Amino acid sequence: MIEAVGLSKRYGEKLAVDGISFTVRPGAVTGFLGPNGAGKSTTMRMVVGLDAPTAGSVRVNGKAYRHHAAPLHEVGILLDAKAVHPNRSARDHLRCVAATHGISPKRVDAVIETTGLGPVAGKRAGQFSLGMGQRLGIATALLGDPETLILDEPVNGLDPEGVIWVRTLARQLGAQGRTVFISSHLMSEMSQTADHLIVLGRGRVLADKPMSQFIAESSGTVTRVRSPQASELAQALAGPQTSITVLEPGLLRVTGVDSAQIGDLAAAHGWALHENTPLQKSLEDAFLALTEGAVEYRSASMSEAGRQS
Amino acid sequence: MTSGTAATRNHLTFTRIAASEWIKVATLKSTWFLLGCYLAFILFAGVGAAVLTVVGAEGQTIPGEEAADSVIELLSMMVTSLTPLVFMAFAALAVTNEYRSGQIRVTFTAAPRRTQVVLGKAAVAAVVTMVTVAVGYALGSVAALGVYAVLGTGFALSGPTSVSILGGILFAGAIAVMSAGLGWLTRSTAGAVMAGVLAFMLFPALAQQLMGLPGVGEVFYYVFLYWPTTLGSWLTSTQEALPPGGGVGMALMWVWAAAVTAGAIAVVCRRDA
Repeated sequence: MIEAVGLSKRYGEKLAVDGISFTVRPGAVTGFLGPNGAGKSTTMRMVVGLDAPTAGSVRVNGKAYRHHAAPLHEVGILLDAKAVHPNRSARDHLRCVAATHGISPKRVDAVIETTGLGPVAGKRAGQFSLGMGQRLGIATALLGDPETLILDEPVNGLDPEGVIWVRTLARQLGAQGRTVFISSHLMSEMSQTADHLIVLGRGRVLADKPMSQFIAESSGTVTRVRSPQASELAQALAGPQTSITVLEPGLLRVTGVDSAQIGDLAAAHGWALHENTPLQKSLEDAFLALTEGAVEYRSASMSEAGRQS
Repeated sequence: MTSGTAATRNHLTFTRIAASEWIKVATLKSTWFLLGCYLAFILFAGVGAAVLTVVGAEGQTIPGEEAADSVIELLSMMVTSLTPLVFMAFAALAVTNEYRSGQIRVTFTAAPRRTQVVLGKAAVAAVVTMVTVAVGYALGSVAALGVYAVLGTGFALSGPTSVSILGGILFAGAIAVMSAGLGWLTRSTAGAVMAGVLAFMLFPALAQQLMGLPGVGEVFYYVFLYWPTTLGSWLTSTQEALPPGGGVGMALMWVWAAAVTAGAIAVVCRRDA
């Protein structure tokens, strides 16, 4: 279990993580979602003591990570697939890490086999693709057969088979009762892997809820309504659960009320409806809407790019 | 998925951290290349010293102890003056390579007690360096012995010469520990080696020049007197009666090494990885 309380990290003027509190529970896969620069990696580094919090604290399985007698058996972490000496072979890299806890060469061989690194285990890590580097990072994380697994963007650079493998592995580890904490900036990936979701934006927790709840809340219908009496219809639909956006004169985007209710209301008032189209909101839309104001690095629009060129 | 061969649940200990550091050093070809070059150079130096000694004697018989002294003196001069760069680079690289590749994050995750990691690296750097230098003395002496045997000259180690060898070994170990410390402090190979060159090569020469200055000259005299390289020269001298004496000099040398390591620990434990 990972418990963070009031965790903050400041780098000079920049507040990377802003007093966040959350709990990552065992027996489930918890997704850590957020746009680039949201503070996900910084938070993960603080969990294992690589970075010291400016304020707050974080405990893993009841203690600060560094106070565990056998840290590798408590937490396995993948932070950066390229964080390996380029001239050392994958097997030797794993041997170095294993030696800190007297982990046997058999276990090294086992994680090499599990992660599919067998054919390249004797190769220098500097020759690895990003995908192979990710597999080596995951092998390193699995070495201690840890209770808690932290994987920062583990599917980066993996081919489709690798992505499915990571997804299956994470779910299996969660099912074994372990704590699995995976970060990603891809909502679609998280929706297929995680049972619980923590969404971070500009260093703050924007959402912390079960995936099923997030999906239920996010997948409400949006209806596009076109009517000559759009303003009257908008007034009649207005309510605490309803959100109405005027897209253009006579065209509304309505959430919180389904198309049947809108049709019934229009019929009751004798208003004409030229369009009453239900639109399914995707999880990606919900994530983007949630983090809209918390995106640190935003791409220039095509039109802006065109103007600049 | 992970249950095939479950990991035995052992604790993290200093001995295991040091073992991990040894595997890191031993599994890099560059380590063996660097130390191999050093030994080849020393072998060549041993042969050269023996030949020069015999040639310098101009046909006169050389006592065995004198013959051994001249070889050991040259080998010690190599250790203290010419080859510290090898040990400095070796020890600094053991640390700075980790920062360059990002491996330091893996290291500090596997072993979050950073003091033990700093000490583990220092211990491995010192032991590998001292063993290499010891092997170097042996190789150089055996090479010289071969030359002397061919030329009919004896070879016998005296008491002071044996102490000189021990001094050279300890000096090199201390230099390695200090360089590893500089590696932690600078996190850059170039920075660590440059700091080492400034501290161990340029500063002593500068201090010698500044000893004559009125007022501050005395300060530079004492700083120079107890500077690591000066201590190293005394430790490896085959002459007796040089201050501050073998045992004290060795101790002082390692006080320097401990001080740099303590500084490194203080910084590394406070700094984000």
